[in-house]
Amino acid sequence: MQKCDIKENPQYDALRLSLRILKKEEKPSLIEALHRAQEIFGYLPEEVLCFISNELKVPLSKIYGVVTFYHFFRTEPAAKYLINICLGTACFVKGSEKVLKALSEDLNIKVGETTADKLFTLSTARCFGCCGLAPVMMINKDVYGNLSPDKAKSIIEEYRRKENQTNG
Amino acid sequence: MEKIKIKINGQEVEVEQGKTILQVAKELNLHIPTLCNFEPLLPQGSCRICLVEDRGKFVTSCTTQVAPNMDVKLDTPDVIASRNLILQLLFTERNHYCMYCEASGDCELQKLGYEFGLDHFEFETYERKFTVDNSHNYIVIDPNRCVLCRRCVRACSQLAGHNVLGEMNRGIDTTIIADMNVPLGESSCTSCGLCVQVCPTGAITDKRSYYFGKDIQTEEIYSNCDQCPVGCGVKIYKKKGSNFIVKIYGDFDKENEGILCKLGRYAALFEEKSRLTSAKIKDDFGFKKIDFDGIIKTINEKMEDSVVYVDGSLFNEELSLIKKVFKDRVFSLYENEPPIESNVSIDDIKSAKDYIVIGVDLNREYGVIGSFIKRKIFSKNGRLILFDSNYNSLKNVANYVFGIDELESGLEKLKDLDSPIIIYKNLSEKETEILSKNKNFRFFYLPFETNSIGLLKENIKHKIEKSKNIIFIGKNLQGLKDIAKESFTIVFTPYETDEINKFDLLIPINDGFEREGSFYNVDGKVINKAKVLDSKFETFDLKAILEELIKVKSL
Ligand code: SF4
Ligand code: SF4
Ligand code: SF4
Ligand code: FES
Ligand code: FES
Repeated sequence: MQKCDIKENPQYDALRLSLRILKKEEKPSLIEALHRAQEIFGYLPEEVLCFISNELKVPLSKIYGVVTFYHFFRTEPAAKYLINICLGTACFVKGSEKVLKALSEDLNIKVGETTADKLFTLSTARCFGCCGLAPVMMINKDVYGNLSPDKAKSIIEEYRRKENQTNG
Repeated sequence: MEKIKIKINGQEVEVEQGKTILQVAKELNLHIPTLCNFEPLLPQGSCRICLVEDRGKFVTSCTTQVAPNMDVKLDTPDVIASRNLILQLLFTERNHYCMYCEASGDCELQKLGYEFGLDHFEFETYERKFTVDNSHNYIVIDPNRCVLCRRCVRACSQLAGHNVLGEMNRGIDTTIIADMNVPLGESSCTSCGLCVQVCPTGAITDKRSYYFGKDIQTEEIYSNCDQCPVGCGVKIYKKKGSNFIVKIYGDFDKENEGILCKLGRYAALFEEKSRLTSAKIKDDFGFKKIDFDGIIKTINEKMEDSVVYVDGSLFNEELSLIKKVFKDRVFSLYENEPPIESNVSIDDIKSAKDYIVIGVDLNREYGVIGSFIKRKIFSKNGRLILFDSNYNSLKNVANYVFGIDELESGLEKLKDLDSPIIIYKNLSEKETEILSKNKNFRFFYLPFETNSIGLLKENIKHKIEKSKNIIFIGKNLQGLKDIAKESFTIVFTPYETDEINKFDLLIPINDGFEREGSFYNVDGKVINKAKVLDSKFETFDLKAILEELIKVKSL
């Protein structure tokens, strides 16, 4: 087993929560854990696999075998910016689904898809553990709270603008 | 086991239920070719070479258990044709040009080629090249020679418990990987070498044995590792007519189940410590060489006013001679009494559920005990609770980790332990007291040195006494520095170190597989270690010197 190089953030809290539920079962399903992790992180970086390995006591090599066997799993981030919209209870009640719909239309992609310019991947998650800010989305490691569909769209617009500036 | 009747090659036979067709055939002396199967690993049926026909259907005999009404045919024309096709595919899938392969001569795939009379490649070979992994100190992995039998993966997990190896990707692109596809030398590999021992081809090989000889050029000698008190059984391949070891394998029929640790597998092959090569005595000008008679004379003169210190590297025969010569002036230089006596054995370790390890890194010392525990943890049949404040390579494997000072509070928190086995080496008085209180606990003591128990049996205890002359016999000189200052000091030891020149008479003794003798292992069982090599130096047989001393004294 290796030492995992983990930088704590709310995503790990969310994963920890999912794994804690899984671990109650006699033989926790690795595939399910990986699905959850990819849902939360957008892809499966090595630190996350390492984290799962330690939590579930499954060897790294076995996890890597499963991840490389199924095409569904990604070990590379899909796009430069991963937008994760929380559909946890608090956020859902406060209208995160509308945010999701708005961004999906704005970017012209469905959940799990990446824009043609490889700039944005749209993904969803269940509770980042900062419900006080609901509805919440994360773009890579940055958290944005108290969203409305318009506010979310303008945040994305801001990312686009910055991107154009650095390129131009 | 219940018996059932099945037919094999038309003949009715009575066989035990629960066995596989392959096992039954072997008992009846009927040959079925195999490749991926390797007892004691669980069968997995990936190579398909062992297939047989049962009532018109092909089944792999290594994975199929016998069942009533079976009518098994081992070599119908269809079976033989299929096996030939499978072997062709195996040969063409990767690089199996034997001529350039280290395993040639000892390779099981090559043997099948001869057995089947393979004289050409039926298909074009698959040209994809995989990178050879040469990053490890002792081991090379060449995926181009791999037949994907996963013996290595199974050995590393099911037997050795290290769970380093796995496979990645799918189909023809599948390769064996370490951890998350990192070079083996940078992985969590413990260098136990079991994967090398079980790999049937040239895909995993031992660097040290490259070009040193095929199995047919070696003689096999069964002996034991004496690097720690586990005393694992080893099978040594010694080059015929020479004085060197080609490779060391674990003995599958001994308690260690074929598993070794890095020390047992590689320490004797990669001698790192420099040896004391001849006997020497100090005079006003420095050291000068001394012969056998000189040694006897000097010791005889100094014997009267001397104490003798030994360590746990000595064998029983040597210890009893030392006692005979020096009587009650023999002490152990180091603490050698268990804080709490063992009341369980290695077998109990293999079957226990809960382990509490206190302050010892089982991957580094007593490696094979670590294997027995790790494989239980990974198969979710056991839990490891670790108390250690230092670096411990089992920390990520353990289910619970506490600092050593949290012993009492930690144990409080763990209420549902199932007669846990406490595994320890040193314990403080306080720890001993905390642990002894619990009636539910079982104890497994790891002796400090290989034959610490032998010292106790000879009633040799730890004690430091001043004396005009000091004689030390053993490997571990650590504790000698402080007590030897003002005395004439005679040292029997195998290694040359910087500090050794402070002493007055230095006598090199045999080491490792140059020695034979018995010692008590962790279970208190007597292990008889066989000699394999002759010393390359002017070393002395300790027993010969002691016997001579007895003779001189009785004159
Ligand atoms: S040497 Fe041992 S630990 Fe390392 S990969 Fe091989 S079997 Fe696993
Ligand atoms: S490396 Fe050797 S043991 Fe492992 S799968 Fe390949 S051929 Fe089999
Ligand atoms: S566990 Fe001990 S006896 Fe066994 S191989 Fe390792 S050092 Fe040798
Ligand atoms: S529900 Fe969205 S952060 Fe908790
Ligand atoms: S030996 Fe039976 S499938 Fe390989």
